[in-house]
Amino acid sequence: MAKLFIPSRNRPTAVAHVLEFLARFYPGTQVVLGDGSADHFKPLYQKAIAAVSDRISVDYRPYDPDVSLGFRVLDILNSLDDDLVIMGADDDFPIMDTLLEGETFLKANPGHVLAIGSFIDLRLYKDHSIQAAFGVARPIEAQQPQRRALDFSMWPFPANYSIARRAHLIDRYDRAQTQFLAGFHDYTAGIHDAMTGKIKAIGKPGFFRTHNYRHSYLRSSNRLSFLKHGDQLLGLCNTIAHDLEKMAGLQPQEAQVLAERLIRRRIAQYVGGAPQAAPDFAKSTLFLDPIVQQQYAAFQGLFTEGHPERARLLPLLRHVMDMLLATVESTDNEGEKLVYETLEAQAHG
Amino acid sequence: MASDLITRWRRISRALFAKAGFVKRGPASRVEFKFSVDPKTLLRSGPAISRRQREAGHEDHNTD
Repeated sequence: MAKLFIPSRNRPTAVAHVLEFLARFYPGTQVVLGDGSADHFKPLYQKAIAAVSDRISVDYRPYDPDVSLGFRVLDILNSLDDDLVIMGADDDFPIMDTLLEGETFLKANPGHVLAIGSFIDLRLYKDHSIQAAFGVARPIEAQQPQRRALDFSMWPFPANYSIARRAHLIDRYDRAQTQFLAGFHDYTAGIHDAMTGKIKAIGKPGFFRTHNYRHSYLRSSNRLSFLKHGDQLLGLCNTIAHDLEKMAGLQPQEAQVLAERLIRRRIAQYVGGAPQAAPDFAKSTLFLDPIVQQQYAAFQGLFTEGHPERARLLPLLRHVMDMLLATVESTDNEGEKLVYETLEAQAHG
Repeated sequence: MASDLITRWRRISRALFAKAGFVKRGPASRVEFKFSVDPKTLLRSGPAISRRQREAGHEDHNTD
């Protein structure tokens, strides 16, 4: 099985739960843990690793707290020699059976750059109410790179929580070092993924993702903050145009027109025009895609008494919920701001 | 006669509004992407958290 790479920072309680989740449900998992925490948190990471060392292997890589997320990720990706890597997170729980299915597929299909399952998003609010949300991961498998970019843009999804080719991940995070724009990063990275190769979507959940009111997140401070960074957004547009020339063989003018269309579409979605808010979305080919329908049924089934998906995943869901509640009572995230807009700001607190 | 004209005008104005982008939002209830969960039973317990609650604390989940 491919290694699971977890970048982390100042979240030892959350990491301990993710490691215990893997040890309990997926013994034998190989984890690479890139820790950029403050020094006083590092012994807690080592304690969490010791608690699971008889069931999973954890390759622990501590970094100075001033080292950015991008640098840590690239440093570790460059040090591995595996073709395929699962990208995880310190508060998200991979459903390894789904990712194993993806690994088998990618080994047999070199034209695909990554394989991905859907997301079960769980959000804990201050009053300890919990909301579940469905996160789609669609198949993007047209022959032409420009067609795949357009398909992805119709109903985008964060493609980073997946199993992917390491060489491509290095390219993706190398770009993020200089081209990260909050609110647009997942989208432009997904366009890049889709142009590089096909995306295999599996009709099952691939990750439980969690979100709570205490943790720090990398995101824009408001929905119009991209206007302050218009130069960066235009830079992303130029990068997409360049990719369309290089990867799809389009002429410069044609590539620029398409790149602008892709960026305009994201702006529209970001400021309120989500595809799922469109009239008759329920009847659209996007939603009626058989893989999407399987994912959506699995999401609904997980929270419905008697459904087979609930029987399969309920023990995992319980563990994730325990983590959500335990994390907000812990010292995780101490010293962090609630929101960072850039990788650099995050590295320097 | 008058009712025919009104019906025709309504049809035309709806088409014009749709073309201009002033269209109704989709039937959200038919595709339920979010709902509340009971922390004890882990079963669906009601509709999604209200906009007011969301605005009081958080934006939508995303790595962005």
